[in-house]
Amino acid sequence: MSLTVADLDDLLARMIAAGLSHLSYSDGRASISMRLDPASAVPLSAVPAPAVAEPETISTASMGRLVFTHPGRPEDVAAEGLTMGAGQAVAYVVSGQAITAVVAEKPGSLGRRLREEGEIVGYGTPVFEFVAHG
Amino acid sequence: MIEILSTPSLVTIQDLGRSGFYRYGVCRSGAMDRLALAIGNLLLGNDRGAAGLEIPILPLRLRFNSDLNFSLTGADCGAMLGDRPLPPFWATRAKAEDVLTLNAPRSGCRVYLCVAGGIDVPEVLDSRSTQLRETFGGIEGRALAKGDRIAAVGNDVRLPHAGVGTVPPAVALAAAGDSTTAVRVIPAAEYADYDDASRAAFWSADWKVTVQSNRAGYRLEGPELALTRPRELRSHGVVPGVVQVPAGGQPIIQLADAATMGGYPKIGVVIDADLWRIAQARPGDALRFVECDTAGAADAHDETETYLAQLAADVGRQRRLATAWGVA
Repeated sequence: MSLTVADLDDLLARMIAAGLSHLSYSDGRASISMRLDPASAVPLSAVPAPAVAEPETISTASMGRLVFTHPGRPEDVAAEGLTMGAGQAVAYVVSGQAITAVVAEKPGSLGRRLREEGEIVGYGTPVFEFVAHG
Repeated sequence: MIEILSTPSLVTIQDLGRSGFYRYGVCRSGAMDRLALAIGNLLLGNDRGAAGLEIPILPLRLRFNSDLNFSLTGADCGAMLGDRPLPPFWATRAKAEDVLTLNAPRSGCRVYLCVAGGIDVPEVLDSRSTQLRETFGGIEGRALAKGDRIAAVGNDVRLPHAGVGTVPPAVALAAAGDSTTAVRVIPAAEYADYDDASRAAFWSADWKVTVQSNRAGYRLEGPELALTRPRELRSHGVVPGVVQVPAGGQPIIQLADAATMGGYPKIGVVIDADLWRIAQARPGDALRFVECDTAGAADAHDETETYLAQLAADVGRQRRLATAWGVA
């Protein structure tokens, strides 16, 4: 069995469409199991902050390969300590030829970077700690 | 609706151009970088030939008068939507009253702005492209001016809330050669009529794009190309990509708005799959010609089509997932 990120995306879309929370498949040599946790059904960046103060994070909203520079603009680098505006990209997720952005939802500063360049990430993977301004 | 707040000259509405009217002397017109226009449309879920804006000179500012999906492709112009920077080759949703500012390009020459469903202007001769010389197509056959309002056809496609983009073609497609502005050329009918030194220079020289370059053609500067003997040619059909050599020995690449006929000797023709690279070359840039044959041109065409098909599939999947996920 050989699956690409695109295949995983397709499986996920089918799970969401069918309301499935768990999917397992085996062809006898290899198997895959995918779990759709209702608690993470929304990217973490959109989840309301918990009552107990924890570091906020900026998280992915798609599955693929994480990069910290845009493939067409290598001079842009999001780095720890940078001030970001609302909606500004801090990283990108590349899946095939498509690119989605990992964005700061509000103004703030980037804290610790939590993932490495080139890592395969899923939905809601925290990428940066984040300190909101104001 | 989009309102132009400030614009330099020569911003026009273009689609993929007109075909089938050469016999009436009507040139192809259409986007200079047809690949960038197609990508911009595919990002939005449009047909790849929907009309968009071709913006060759910056800066430009415009305001969205209603919520609208749009994309920016081609030259990377450090675009800002309000105070939000946008990456190159990106589609996102503007809110009513958002102002889009396109700044001086970091790379490339022409920016393409596409909108959901395409720009809504009447078709003339099967195309919405502006034909400046003949003053038809687009909006009254003219370049856009401050205060112009542009309507979008619209569609019901939903984008991921942070937008979606693609790996730019300069990264995704194999380079045509060592130089960043190498383009593949098939020797043309009069190639053999040039002397040995000229033929060698044609392939080895860096050809500087002069300021006398526009949508009709790019005049190049480099070593003088000389025929072995004078040639008198009857006027014949000329298509975008043909490299003519007038008496001065300096080549001209015929492009989207080129005349349909010409009588200068033709030393080569830039393959269709590489015309976008020329469209993004700026005056002062150097072009390098790399010899190619029809099989190589077909391979390059296939590579481009594969890239576009993959792009459409991958971006479409991201749009569908974002909708299912509730983040569109």
